[in-house]
Amino acid sequence: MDIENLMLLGALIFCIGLYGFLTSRNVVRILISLELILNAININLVSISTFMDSQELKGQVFALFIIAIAAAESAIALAIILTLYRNKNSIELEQFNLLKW
Amino acid sequence: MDFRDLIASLNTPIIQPEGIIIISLLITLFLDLLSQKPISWLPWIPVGGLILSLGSLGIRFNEVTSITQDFFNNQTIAFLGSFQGDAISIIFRFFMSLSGILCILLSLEYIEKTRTALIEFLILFVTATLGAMFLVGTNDLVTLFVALETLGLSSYLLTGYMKRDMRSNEAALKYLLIGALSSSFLLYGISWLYALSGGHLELNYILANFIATDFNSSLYLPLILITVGIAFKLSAAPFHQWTPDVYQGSPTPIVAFLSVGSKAAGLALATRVLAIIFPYLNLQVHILFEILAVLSMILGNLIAITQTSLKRMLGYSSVGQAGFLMIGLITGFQDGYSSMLLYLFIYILMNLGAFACVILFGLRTGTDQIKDYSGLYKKDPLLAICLTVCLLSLGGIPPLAGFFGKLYLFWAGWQSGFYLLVFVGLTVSVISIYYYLRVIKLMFIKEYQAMSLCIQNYGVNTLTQEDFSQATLTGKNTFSLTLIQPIELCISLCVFGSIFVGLASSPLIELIQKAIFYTPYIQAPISLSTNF
Amino acid sequence: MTEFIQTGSFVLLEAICVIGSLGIILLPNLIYSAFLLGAVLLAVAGIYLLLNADFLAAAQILIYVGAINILILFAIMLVNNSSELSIENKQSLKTNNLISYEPKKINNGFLWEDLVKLFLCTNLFIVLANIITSTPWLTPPFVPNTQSVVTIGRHVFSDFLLPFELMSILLLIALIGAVILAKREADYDFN
Repeated sequence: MDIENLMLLGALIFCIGLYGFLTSRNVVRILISLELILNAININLVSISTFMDSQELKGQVFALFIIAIAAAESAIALAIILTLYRNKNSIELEQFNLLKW
Repeated sequence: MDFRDLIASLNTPIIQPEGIIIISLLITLFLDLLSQKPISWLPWIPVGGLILSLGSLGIRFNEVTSITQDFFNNQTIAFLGSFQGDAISIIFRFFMSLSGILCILLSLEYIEKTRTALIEFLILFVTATLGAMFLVGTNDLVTLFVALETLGLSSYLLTGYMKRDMRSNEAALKYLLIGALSSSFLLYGISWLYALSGGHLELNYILANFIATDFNSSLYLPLILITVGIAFKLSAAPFHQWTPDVYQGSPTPIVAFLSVGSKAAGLALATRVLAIIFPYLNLQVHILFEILAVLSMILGNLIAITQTSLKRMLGYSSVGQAGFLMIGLITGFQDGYSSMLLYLFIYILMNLGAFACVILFGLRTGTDQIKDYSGLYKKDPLLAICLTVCLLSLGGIPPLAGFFGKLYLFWAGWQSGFYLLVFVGLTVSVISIYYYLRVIKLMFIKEYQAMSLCIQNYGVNTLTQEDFSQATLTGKNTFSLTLIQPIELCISLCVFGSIFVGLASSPLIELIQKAIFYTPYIQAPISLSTNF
Repeated sequence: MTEFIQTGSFVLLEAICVIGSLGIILLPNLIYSAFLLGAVLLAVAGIYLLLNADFLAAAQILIYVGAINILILFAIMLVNNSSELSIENKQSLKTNNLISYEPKKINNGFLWEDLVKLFLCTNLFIVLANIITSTPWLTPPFVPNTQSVVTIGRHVFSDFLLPFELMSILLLIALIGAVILAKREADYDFN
């Protein structure tokens, strides 16, 4: 359990989350992949703070802020999805070109 | 630590401008919450707060540029290293406040016509401006991320504000997903910086510890990740794919703010991060940003030729303008940064002027297709002339301000030896004049049959078109000042600026160079300086 | 013995993370993905505990698993068509039904663009792994910090006071904005 293994874990989950983000057709799955990516970044930060910064623990404070901002972001994302879903039920979809990145 | 000592050591007068804005935001929120019926003068409180913050920024600037050279770093850092209030951050914050004021002025009537909640719109808007102001003064990686997310989250909410319009929802979702992805790339790069500096989060300490631990080849990874994150924010090609769709779907005042405020915030972030953390990777930074600038200029201007919607065309042209601004960023040192700041100021004025004219035209006719502008001069000559001035200034025609800004940019680039950038810039400037002139030519059509249907029925009550569901044109609006509506005030300020800022640019350049003189970290170190 | 327990539990938690995240992106059923996200988040909290970050582990479980994961499950339940599981709907392929449906996969379960993206992500991981293993990490001698709550509290109120206060404004407008977007208006058209 040294810093290289933990950073490798972080990089692996980051890439898996990135793949899920880029290839999902379902918007909620894209949100779930985004949470995976943010967790990978958090693992990175906490492991660096344990091995390199163990007296000041600044990485853990940063990770705490990231958790709070991820919560706000997913709340807003779900509000937008809800609005989209509500409109979709009552309006004909013709130019719904969300799949084209 | 004693509480009183802690408060005294925080150095809070540095964020006095942002404090004024926060107080005005809270006053607006509580007055709206506690009053039974809507107060008509409530929208002027955030505007007043922003104007007061402009004044406070002026006072701060005088203070910062009169201290002696020995005590630079200690006097301008606030909150124990989180915020840096030096001269160049004051200039960037001034630009953010100015763009906030102009964007609020041009959005009041639009929000009233669409019958959505006005005060919440203003609160979100002021928070976005606040996030941008904190972003340009950040000295700490955590403040960087939190301010970036404040700006980002408010922008996502504002983009989706017209919730009954399907395109607005789509644009908000797309902007949120792509924005979240780009900020997670930036965040991963930041975590690598934390690792490579041995556990420091303050920008100065990161640089100091890089040198100590000698990680030269691993520094490329955070550099590339941070560049990707910033390039999304600046909508530099090839990361500009989200720009046209989001710009077309969002309500037009928000497009105006995104095209101006977001770009200025991205540029300030790039300036600060690249100059503080990567000064020894100059060659790699230059190569990366040169690729971004050339691609932005070429792609933005070429694709703008084919657009039929004026909003989308202005969106693509703003991608090209970001390329021009990056020429100044790459040049660096005194001339590059001062030319970039001057062009940023002129760009804010002329871009917001163009968008304000588009909004006013949209309010009166309900459309933003270019072919519907034909013959505008006959029916509404003042609007046609204002739009003409702003578009010509964007194209860079003398003697308007855009010409002087581009001249200074290209001169600074040529002096420092970036011949490819200047050559590409000149070529695409000529190309861009074509699509700006196309709109102007359409406006000055004289035959009645060639005018569009909207212009033929101009001024009569028009009903639903693309932008809103039940828009009608009434005589006097709620927000009229004594003689003039807010959006007309905004247009006249921007047109006035576009005409005269270029001619009066010499005192402005002196001011900007004085600010750069008092900011040591972006000046040329003695060993790396070539020619000024 | 303690070394074995620590290494063993770390390998177990790592396996849960990796297999869970692979399951999240590969399983076609969205509800399985949401529950696997809960499992991954719990495993990450366990890793934080192994790294002496006790406060952060508690915060992770409370906020991520307890709030965000449940919010995602609510959203899935709210926008999923109940008729999605019937046979007739599966036959009519409408790719516009973005929120609650997955399009039929061709070519043995992969679209061609997915292969390109898989290639890109794998390359990215190989590059990252190379850089991680080739960087000479200079770690100081490990001294565990047993007072992580005190240290974090001290930082939040001295070093990181400005981002903390800015977060309060951010959370306020996230609240206001989410309510505005999701609110059902009185004169909503139902066509």
